[in-house]
Amino acid sequence: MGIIETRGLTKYYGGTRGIEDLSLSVEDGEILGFIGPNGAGKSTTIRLLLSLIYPTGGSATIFGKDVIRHGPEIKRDIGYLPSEVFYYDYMRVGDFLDYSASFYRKDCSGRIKELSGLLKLDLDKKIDDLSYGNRKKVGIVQGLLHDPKLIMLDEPTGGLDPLMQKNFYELLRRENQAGKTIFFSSHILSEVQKICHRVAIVKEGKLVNIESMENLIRNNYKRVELMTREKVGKELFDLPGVSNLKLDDGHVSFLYKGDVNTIAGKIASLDLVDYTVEEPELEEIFLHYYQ
Amino acid sequence: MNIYRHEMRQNLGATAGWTLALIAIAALYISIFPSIAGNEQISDVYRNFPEAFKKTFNISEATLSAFAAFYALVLNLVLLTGAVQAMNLGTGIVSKEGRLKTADFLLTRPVSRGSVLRQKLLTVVTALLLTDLVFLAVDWLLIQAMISDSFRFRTFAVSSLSLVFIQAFFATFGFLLGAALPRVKRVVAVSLPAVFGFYIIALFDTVIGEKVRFLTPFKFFDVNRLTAGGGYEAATVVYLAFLVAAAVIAGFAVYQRKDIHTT
Amino acid sequence: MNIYLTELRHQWKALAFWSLGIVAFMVSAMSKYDGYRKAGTSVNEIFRELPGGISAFFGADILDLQSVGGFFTICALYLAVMLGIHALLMGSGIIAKEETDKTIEFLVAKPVSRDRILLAKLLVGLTTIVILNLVTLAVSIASVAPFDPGPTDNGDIVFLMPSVFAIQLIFLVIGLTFAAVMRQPRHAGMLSGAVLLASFILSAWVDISGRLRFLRFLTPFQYFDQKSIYANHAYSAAHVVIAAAAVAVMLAASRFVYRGRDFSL
Repeated sequence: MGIIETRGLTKYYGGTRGIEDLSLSVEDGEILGFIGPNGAGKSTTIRLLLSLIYPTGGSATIFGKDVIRHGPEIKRDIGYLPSEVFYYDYMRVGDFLDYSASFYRKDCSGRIKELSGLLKLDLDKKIDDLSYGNRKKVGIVQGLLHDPKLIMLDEPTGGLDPLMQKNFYELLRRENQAGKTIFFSSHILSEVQKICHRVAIVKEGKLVNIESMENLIRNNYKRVELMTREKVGKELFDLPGVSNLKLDDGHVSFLYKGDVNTIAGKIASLDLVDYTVEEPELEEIFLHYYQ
Repeated sequence: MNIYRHEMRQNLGATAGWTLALIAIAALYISIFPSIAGNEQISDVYRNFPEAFKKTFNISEATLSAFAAFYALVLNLVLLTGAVQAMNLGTGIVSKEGRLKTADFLLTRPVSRGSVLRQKLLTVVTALLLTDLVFLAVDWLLIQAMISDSFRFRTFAVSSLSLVFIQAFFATFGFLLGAALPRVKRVVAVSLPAVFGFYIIALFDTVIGEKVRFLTPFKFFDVNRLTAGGGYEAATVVYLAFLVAAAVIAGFAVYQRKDIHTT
Repeated sequence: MNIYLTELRHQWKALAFWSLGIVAFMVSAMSKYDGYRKAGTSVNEIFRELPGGISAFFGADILDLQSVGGFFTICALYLAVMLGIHALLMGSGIIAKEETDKTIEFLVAKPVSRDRILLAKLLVGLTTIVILNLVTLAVSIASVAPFDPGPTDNGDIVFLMPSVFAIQLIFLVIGLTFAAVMRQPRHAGMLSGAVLLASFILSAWVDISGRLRFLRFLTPFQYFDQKSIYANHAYSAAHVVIAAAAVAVMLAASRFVYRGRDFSL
């Protein structure tokens, strides 16, 4: 049983599609990247899981409990950081975090101090006076201060400078090592690549693939580039699994998917100047799903 | 109860402001009574009451104090102001999370929507009762200090209860609107037209007849009769209670099923 | 012009809503007037018997409420309050919304001066209050038509409308000024609403108490009091001048502060 399980989850806004028949399972202790372009249904999924909106069809459970029926109970152990953060402008950061902590039946003051120290957040400032990046930090602290078992992040890094992003990933990795499950939605693939164990790809409201990061990259494509002393004929690479073949004098490049021995044999028969075989960037795999 | 505490702290200033406003209105009007008391024609007021009513409540020209009639006027304006306060509070407190876009924050805490709404409703009730208690106490003291006419405490208390009733209507009506409307950008743009709309309907009623007594809360009870020692009619009290309960129940029902959007 | 046109296009729904309100109000008022004439009761007497000086508030002491024109004057008192509420919501809202909706960043990044923005918004406000005033005029004339108004009655209605407009204008500018000068413009609606409520209560107090007449100068409802305008068939030149000066001062202050103000985002 996964930490999050959705079965045929569907949401329509009037006639417009939010998500359709989405079935997904997030394992205990993993970091799952949830990727897709804008409008694919990432936020809809997260909002359904948090019962901020209600499904048109299907169901979802978190910790084995129905998200609608047991919403409040489940949320004791969820931390959520939305893409855009809005908090009570009239409050001071410290007061707001205390208010946030007052919803959980535990003492969170240590965590607040620790997290805001780590992120260099000034607790005495009014939320109204904070910059966008600092508001985001408030968001991170309020999402983690109660030591949640499941952390849900909806495109979380916008507005954070590179240094803060690094700190943030570090923080997430630490939480994950402490056994927390993380559900991470993003359209920035490098972000997901850096941190996630598995990746779920959504397209137009539907789940198109879910695979471990390793599998996704290894078992899919290799980018092969060769530099040869002599011109190579096109027919040599007329094999199943070869795509995007480009021949240019002594330069050959293509994507390959299949048995590596086959292609290694072919390459060995050539007189090479140089060669590289690379794992493709996630971007390239991603584009493949969107062609 | 943390939401309740938070909201109470947030609303204390406004509640104090409204209480002062109500006191100022009452003081302003009560202070002019001594100077116009001489011209008051009690007989006209008296003649306006139906025979049956006078008999039921044992009112004669002799027992009717001139101030009682005047106090009805004061109460009218107090009711208007109190209604605006109640409607602002009811509409504002529920729609607030949508306006500040903090609904995402609040509803991802381990707290049910029902509990959020219950605590907010409790804030409304507390703030209004505080206002009414303080206002009525000061109001009674003002009357004691400035008015020599006899005005029985019982009459004062019974008639002033109309403030609580009218606020109950507008607070719950606003509560329902705040829950049902997709987004209330400005509370006053909802509350002022609503309250003044009902008020204006009522003004024409006072003059012309009692046909649409159930149409506006300002006519649920006749303030003139209340200050003359009359009571509330069971039918209107039941009707008001029904409306209040319906608005609260509908507000909860709508809010429970509502999709929350931040943008 | 583009700001003006875009903003105006967003006002139709609100205008339709308020127009409906005016129709509902006039129809119910006049149908009651009708019911009442048919019953043969004297309107004058009923109003004069109202307790505690309320009769003065309705002008029962100076008006012939039996006539269509006299009765309409009472309606006009409330039309002024209704349209005043619309105007203050309009004036405060049209300025404040740029900041509450965070669209002010978009607007000031365009090659327009703040003066231009303020002017365009003022013009939108003026347009809507003129439209509502004309709607009210048309609805009023149509709703008194069944009661055989003489030419003088219709003339009176036309004569009273500028007083309603003056109140609209004053509250439009009050709302606009609050929103333009306040650090937190989202509170401007509430504040101008409080001003209207206070003006209304003070105005009623002056009518009823008949004392401290100088307090009239504090409330716009007394400047353009439909009862006395109808009874005297004249506007008070002093009041018109003071009101015009107040509007001019508020507009100048708005412009001055809005030019140099930090926007709240």
